[in-house]
Amino acid sequence: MGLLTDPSGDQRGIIWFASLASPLFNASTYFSENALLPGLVKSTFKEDRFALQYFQELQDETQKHESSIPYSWLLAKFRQIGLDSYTHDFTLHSPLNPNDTYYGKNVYGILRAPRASSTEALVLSVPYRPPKSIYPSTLPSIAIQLAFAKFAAKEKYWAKDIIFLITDHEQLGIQAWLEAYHGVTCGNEGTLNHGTLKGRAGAIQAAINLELHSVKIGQIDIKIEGLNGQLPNLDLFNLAGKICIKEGVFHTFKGKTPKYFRDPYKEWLYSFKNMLNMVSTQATGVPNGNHGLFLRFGIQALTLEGFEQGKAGSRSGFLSIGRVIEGIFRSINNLLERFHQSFFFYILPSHDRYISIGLYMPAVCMIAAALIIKACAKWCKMQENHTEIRYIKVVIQFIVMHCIGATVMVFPELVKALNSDVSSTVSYGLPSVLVGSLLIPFLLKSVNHSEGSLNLLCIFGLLELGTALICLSMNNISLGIFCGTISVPFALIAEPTKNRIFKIVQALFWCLIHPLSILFFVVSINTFLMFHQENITEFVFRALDATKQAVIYSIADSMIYGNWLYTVVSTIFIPNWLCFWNVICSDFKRHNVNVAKKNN
Amino acid sequence: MLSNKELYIFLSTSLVFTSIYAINLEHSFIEKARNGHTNNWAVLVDTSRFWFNYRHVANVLSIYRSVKRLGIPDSQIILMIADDMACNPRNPRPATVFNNANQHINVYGDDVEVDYRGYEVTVENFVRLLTGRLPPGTPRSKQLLTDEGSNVLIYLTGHGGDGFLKFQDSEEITSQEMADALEQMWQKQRYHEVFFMIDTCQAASMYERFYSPNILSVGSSMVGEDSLSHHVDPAIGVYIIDRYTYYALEFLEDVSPESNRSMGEFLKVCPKSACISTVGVRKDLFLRDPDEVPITDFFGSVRPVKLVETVPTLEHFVNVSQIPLRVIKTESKPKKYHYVPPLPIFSKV
Repeated sequence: MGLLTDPSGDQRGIIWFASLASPLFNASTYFSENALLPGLVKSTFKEDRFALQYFQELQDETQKHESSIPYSWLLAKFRQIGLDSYTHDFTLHSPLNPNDTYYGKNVYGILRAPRASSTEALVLSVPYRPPKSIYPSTLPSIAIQLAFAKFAAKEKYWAKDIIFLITDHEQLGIQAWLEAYHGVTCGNEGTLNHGTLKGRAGAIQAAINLELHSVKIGQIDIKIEGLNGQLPNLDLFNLAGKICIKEGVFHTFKGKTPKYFRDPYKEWLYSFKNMLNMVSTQATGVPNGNHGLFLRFGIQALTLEGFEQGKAGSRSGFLSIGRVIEGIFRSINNLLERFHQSFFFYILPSHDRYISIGLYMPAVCMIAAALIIKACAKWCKMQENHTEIRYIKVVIQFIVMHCIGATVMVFPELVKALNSDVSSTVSYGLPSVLVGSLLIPFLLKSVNHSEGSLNLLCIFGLLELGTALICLSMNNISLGIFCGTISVPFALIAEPTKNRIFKIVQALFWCLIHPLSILFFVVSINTFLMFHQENITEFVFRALDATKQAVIYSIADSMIYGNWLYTVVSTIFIPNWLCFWNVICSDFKRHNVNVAKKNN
Repeated sequence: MLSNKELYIFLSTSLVFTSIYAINLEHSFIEKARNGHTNNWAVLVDTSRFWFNYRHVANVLSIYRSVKRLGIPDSQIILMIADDMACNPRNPRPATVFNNANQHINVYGDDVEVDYRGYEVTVENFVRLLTGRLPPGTPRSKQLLTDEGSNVLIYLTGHGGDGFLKFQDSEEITSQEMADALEQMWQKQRYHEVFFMIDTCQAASMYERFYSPNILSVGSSMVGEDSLSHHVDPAIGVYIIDRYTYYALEFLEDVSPESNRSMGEFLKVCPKSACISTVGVRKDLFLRDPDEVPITDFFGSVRPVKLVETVPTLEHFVNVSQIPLRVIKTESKPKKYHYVPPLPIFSKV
């Protein structure tokens, strides 16, 4: 039984995962797609003066529009350049309060490929931020977008249409535009009314989202994490990096450039921190830029965010930035098929090295395998001990737990259907449902558990958790590894016990890893990093409030964008947690002591 | 088949006739026909498509330009090109294909006759073309009408591997198939000598299996080696030509139909320092010493021109009395033409 009772599989998995950050275990990035021909062509963009002029005009124009998009000015500019220009209206019926409705307007222009049929398209998008916006301005990116459109309109080598898109209301605008473009609704019906588009181009092959905060750019950060942890093809990321190097623009990933150390430990630590940075962004499943919403439609996209302050000494102006855009677009213009050659599943410890799915999946599988081996060991032990098991009761219990999960999942929609304010109801209702569910093992005392039944329930829980972790990691490795690292060590020691102290200790530990408590810890750490000078009570209240907000936002995200974090947690992790909670907290009679002794 | 036989009969009878009636003029030509070749053909094939394979099209068009300049007429060149680079929407210089970064030579000039284009470039068509097993009704321009006196230049470029050459990203010809096709050509007396030239990765693997006589082969790289491109044209944004073909062309540009350069020299055009890959040569099937063979035996064309001292009259060649006299009617009035509607209008009938 040595292997079966050895619970160190999860430790090995975690060590494996951590060591992947070392350059010894990962590989440097390379181009897989031959068609890209990255950076072979000489840049000829020289419309930087127009960009400056557009920028000044735009600054004057935005003064007249405090909180809305100056669409007439933008349309006029697109028309002047010679693009097919359109606006797109969309409406959001707030998922949290049925009486709130928001309106937005996107503006876009299409440059038709002069010598090809309009069957394929590329997108250059910029989120428009009015002066009142809490986010840093993106006006320079609109200026450079217009200048690039002016440049591109007179070139004859485009094989794909280029769509110049300026979106309103951050991610809402881009989501509505994409839904309208493809004629689908991703979130709940009746939440985001995407409207219709008057002009269309072909299938979109790739998109670049620009967020430049200044006319002079010190560094460009390439952002890739998308909705539900989806990532763009690695070739596109490499392409952006390569073109930045070619044009002499300082670029980073997660604000860092690769550093080389003599000490392998320091080198590992540096990459590991960077890797954790990516893991933490990806695990939330919330896109960190407008590019993140393209990925669902099979459109490879990334955001280039430009900051004024950079670690590099010199700063690049509109000329270099324009040439970066030109280089990227000429390269993706060469594409013959969708991006498919390089990786879609990877983790980046720095912008020139990658960890492929083939390297990180064994780590998760080891973690999950510990659970499955433990389940097997338990089952074998039960067979030896001939314990009494009431299968029907266990199965019913298991189903009841999942019904609770399903209730949690549909709770916000139920509340919304009752036409009351979702945010306040949810923030009180949801915790009470969850706290209520904690009482189940005490209410079910009359069920007359046997140790065997509880062990069987534990086996079900172990198998479910193991399977769920592997499935989750296939889609979003960061979330998978995060959940695995936290829950597996505790799940492995969960055991029905008669020992009162052991039981309390287990229950306490188990409470710590409730999805809500984990959310609270994560949010508190975040809050602490932001406001660490506050006193403890203020801090706790702020963290609690932030946790509440986080839950409500994740519900809103799932209803508008189809983010499945809330669904996964409510349908899998909460029921699974309850299974183990039942195993830990239930009392049982020991029917089989004598039989067991005889066997021994 | 039939057309070949006819051609064969036609050629042999014409030889007999000329030998009977113009012995003193054509004697050396017959000698040459007996020992050497009487005509030249070229089969130039680019097997790969897509914009990023621009260089392969440039390769094949450059060779086409050279052999045409050296005297092989379009009617005896079979040009197979798998993609239309000149009209690719990505081409910043529409309707042109260049083989040099400074865009000196537009190899897609006014008079390029592409015989097999686009999806017609398949392994089947290629093998049928070589072996002469084309379906009835195939136009003359798509047939290789060679005979036992033909010297054939076969040039292939594209993406190859160990023992195969990829056609169009969808199929490949193996070295064995290639060797068997040449053997069929030999057995059907479709060539006198073949110069087989290939510029792909692992090119040498393609001629390894040849077993038919009179074949001289050269490949741009040995088995296990990659053939590399020569340079990028930043104005067009593609790799513009492959190394081996580049140096071969550099040599061919200095060759004129009258020059005395030998095949031996041509086989050494790309030393390893220039090509990076090792150029492979196979001479064992070839009976002559390449240093003795003029390059125009493959790249040029036989044009038997004889100087005569007197103006030949018809009696020199044919017995005039045997020609039936045709009564020539002279019409005093020119024929009147009148307008005929292009199509009958059925509604009125």
